[in-house]
Amino acid sequence: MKIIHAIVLLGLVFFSANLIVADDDKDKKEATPEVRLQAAKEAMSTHTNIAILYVKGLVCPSCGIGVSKNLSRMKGVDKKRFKRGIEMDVKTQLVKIALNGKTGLDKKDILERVDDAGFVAIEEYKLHDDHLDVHRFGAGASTEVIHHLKK
Amino acid sequence: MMRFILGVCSLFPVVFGLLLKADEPIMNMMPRWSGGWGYQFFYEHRRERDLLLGSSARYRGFSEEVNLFHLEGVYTWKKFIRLTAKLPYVIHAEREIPDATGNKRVQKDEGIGDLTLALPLKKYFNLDGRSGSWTFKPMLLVPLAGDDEYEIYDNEWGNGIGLGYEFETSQFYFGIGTNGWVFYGDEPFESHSFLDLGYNFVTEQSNGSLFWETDFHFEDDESRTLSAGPALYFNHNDTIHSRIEWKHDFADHQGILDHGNGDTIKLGMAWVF
Repeated sequence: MKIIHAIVLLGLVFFSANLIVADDDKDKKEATPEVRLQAAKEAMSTHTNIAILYVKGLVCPSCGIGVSKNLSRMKGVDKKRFKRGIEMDVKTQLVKIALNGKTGLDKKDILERVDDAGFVAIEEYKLHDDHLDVHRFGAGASTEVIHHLKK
Repeated sequence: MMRFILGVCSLFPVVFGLLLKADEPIMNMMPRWSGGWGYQFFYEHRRERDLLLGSSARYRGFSEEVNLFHLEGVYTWKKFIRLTAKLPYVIHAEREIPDATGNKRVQKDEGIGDLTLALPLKKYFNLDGRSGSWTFKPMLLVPLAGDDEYEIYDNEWGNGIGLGYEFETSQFYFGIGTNGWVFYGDEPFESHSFLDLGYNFVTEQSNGSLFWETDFHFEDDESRTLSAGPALYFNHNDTIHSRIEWKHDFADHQGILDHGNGDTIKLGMAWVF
């Protein structure tokens, strides 16, 4: 019986220690803007005709399922690519959306769908000629370009 | 003489209820979006080895074995309000109790259990690198259980309140909560508290979590049980989810003669839309 108690104690210590250590762990923080930008650039060069969003707090795959489901139902999403049109990366908080046309997605709709899933969409990454623009969402689905980089 | 008294007492309809679970469908995680709904099934097997009074086995080897099938459903109106319903079905339950001479007497229970309705109210937060929620949950227990030789479910109305806090990072899960129940009958106040720690992992196509879960169950007749064990959750394709868990009673104290020193295994499958 003492052995079993020791196993329980070890289990608790192991999991608790991970949580405590995680305070200093970079993985616990969201990716830096530079890391996200680099990831977005790579995704844009790997995939064609996609939209990329930065969703704050999207750090766990299971709690982000609503984001995936809600965005997947948007008009203009190519469900044959990625996972029903959506690919989430909890390490960079980026959401890739496969598009089936050139018109893009309705920004207000994006914001509402992400908000409805319990998160906040902060930025959208867009290819503009050979440049990568970062559009920050503002009030009333307005956007402001905060980065303009050569791809 | 004491053995005779205990044997007779055990024939009274004492509390033999299973833990009133704090867990909610779907796997306590989803749906987090408006109009989301889902259902889950799980099979539960529980075996308690001894008949306890206090912390000691008054009748060693007088066991109880319970096989349950749970059907649970959830609907999310807005991300902050859900309705959940949980209906258990006793496939087969069998317990051994002492008769007046101290020998084993077997009693059985089968059929539908009591319905638990809950209205979890959620407040979500998204911080730097973590996402989580606070939960306030009023609950109602609706008596649907029938009459058998003994009852796994007590067939009484009850009211409960639950509080919870949980968050996840990309790697870890932390959840803590408690709930309390009062009943409109003979059953004493009871509470169920939990501390869940988890490690999240990602596969090529999906993701899952490995948990260490600790439960504490208290009844206002001096009964208290501390159980803990591992659980594995797996998200198959965002729609289908499964979970397996095992819990062992590490400390069991029964205020009245009741079975204890048990192990519980659960296998669950869920669908969310």
